Amino acid sequence: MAQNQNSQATQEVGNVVHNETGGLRPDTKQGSGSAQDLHNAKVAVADVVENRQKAGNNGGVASDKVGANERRTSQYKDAQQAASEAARSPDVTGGSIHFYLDYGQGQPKWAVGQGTTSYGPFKNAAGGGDVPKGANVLIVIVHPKEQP
Amino acid sequence: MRRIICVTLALLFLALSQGVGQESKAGSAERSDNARPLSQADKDAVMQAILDEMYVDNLQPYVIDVGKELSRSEYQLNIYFKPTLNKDNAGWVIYKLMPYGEVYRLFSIRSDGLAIIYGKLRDRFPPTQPSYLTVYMDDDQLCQIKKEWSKEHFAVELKPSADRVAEALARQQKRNSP
Repeated sequence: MAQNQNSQATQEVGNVVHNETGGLRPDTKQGSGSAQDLHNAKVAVADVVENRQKAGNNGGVASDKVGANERRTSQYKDAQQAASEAARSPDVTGGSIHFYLDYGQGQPKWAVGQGTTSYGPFKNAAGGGDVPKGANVLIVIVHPKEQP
Repeated sequence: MRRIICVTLALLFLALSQGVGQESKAGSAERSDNARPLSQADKDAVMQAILDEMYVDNLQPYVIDVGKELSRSEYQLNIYFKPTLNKDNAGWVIYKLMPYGEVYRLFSIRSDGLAIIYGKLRDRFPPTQPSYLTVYMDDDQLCQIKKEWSKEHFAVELKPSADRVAEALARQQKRNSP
């Protein structure tokens, strides 16, 4: 199990990834919105969280605390796996320090005019939490300034 | 003369077709979003959901730093509503939710009339989520929104009665049920 093998720092990154994306589910079998696409998005989010931590910023993202029941879910295990992959492999975001979950709220200030990579759309199947049940959500990685 | 009339007609046709194109584009965006205007009942439901959350999580004492004092036991807060709901019956409000800060918050109106407000207090409304603190917004955009959206007020009781808290708790449980 990835969460047992991960260092405490990587586990905390996985916790943030889970709290940000844990309500989302794949909406297709292949391509954008698939389970693989969601996993890839989680790896990218883990890279961004790591980049923020390297810059000394541990805030501005969801909590790194996850309850015992949540830790048993497949979504949590996938988030920990993604954090583990991000820690072991090169940064897939090219040094990005921002991401956001897009439900049509408009781009945050730091995303305006920047290049982005989007994953999804994914469905909020569970309901509650951060968006209405059944809503489509994109996970958007904001490229660093020097990257188009 | 005939050529002038033809050119004039062609220009007129071009201008009209562009105008129609723009109109239908805006129209289709609205249709695809299925936007509907927010009603007073929707607004009341959202304010009820906000108060229920405050009373259940005991956040009402913090209002004394940001609200207008109506009496020793009651303070008033401003709230700004986006005037339309999207296809999911969802919309946005802006209000001060202390001790977190001013929040740009997503809500939806359920078929039973209850409003659900999104974003977890635990996460403190980071800019990565659809509901986030307005401190992360562009200043000019925030000013513009506050000018354009519908401004309302609601009153917060510093010491809500046990019955009021019980009602809030019951509704919160109903909101959390599938």
